[in-house]
Amino acid sequence: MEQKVNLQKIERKAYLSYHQDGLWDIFLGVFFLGMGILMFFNTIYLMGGMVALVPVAIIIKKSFATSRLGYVKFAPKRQTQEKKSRAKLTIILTFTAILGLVNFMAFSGKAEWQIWIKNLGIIPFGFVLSFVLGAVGLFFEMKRFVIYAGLILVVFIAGHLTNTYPPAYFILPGIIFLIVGLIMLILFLHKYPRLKKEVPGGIQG
Amino acid sequence: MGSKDKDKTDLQPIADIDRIIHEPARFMIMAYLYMVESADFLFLMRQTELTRGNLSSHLTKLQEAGYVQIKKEFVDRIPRTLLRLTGKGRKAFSAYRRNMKQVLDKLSDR
Repeated sequence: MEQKVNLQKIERKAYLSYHQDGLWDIFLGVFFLGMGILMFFNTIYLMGGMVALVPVAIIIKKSFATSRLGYVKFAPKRQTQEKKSRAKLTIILTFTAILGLVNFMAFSGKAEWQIWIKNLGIIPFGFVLSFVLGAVGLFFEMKRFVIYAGLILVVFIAGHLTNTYPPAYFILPGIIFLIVGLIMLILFLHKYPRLKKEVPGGIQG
Repeated sequence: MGSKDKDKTDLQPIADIDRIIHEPARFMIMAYLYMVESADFLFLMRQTELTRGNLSSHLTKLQEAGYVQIKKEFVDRIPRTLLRLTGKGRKAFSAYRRNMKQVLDKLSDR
């Protein structure tokens, strides 16, 4: 046995397999596409409705992963780590909500800082989205979300500099996230097909 | 101590290896259950890539040895058959790891 059996690596691999179904990427893609379409039709106020779908997405994700990969309760160490990650994310979301509010207030004033922020267009919003996604990627060990965060930043800045129509800032990343998510989902379904109904007897649950 | 006795002492950890855990499939099962609090059959099947029948048979052996506990519980109002290592199972797995490390450390070329 030349290669050491690293139990931590085994546990981490099992944990990460629950995030390889592409569903988070699909939900993110749908969210971004939805934002772009709402902006296009000047109905951005409906964004609240999309945010309300997040708990539904979480339930669907949990149910889907468990039906394919099985149920597991990770060790207390992992559970504590997850709780800490969620707490950190809550703090970050609160902070970004405050930033968002400041950005919104900037549009209603004539002070120098407000004009400066107004001139940035929706780049601040892009920063906020990027920041949140990056945090999710780091805290929940989903490296591709850190790449998504970078992509959003690039799209928003490039879009602002080239005077691109703002809905495109959301539609383009949305399409990319959706495609990545769908590819991952197809690979996941191929790797973990639904198992046929069990024959009675044995330890099978 | 005579050389025969010394050889016996050197090789004793090999004789002490837990044969229940030493079987590769059962080792995998124990390793996964060691790293989690509890899991269901499907989780073990996916992670170990054992067939259903194979996994079931090894789990039965582990259960008979008192290393694995199998219990039906409700999780989020859904009944699930959960598997977890018993205290005896955790101790046995830790002891197995120690013994194997000793054995492998002694298997040097010099």
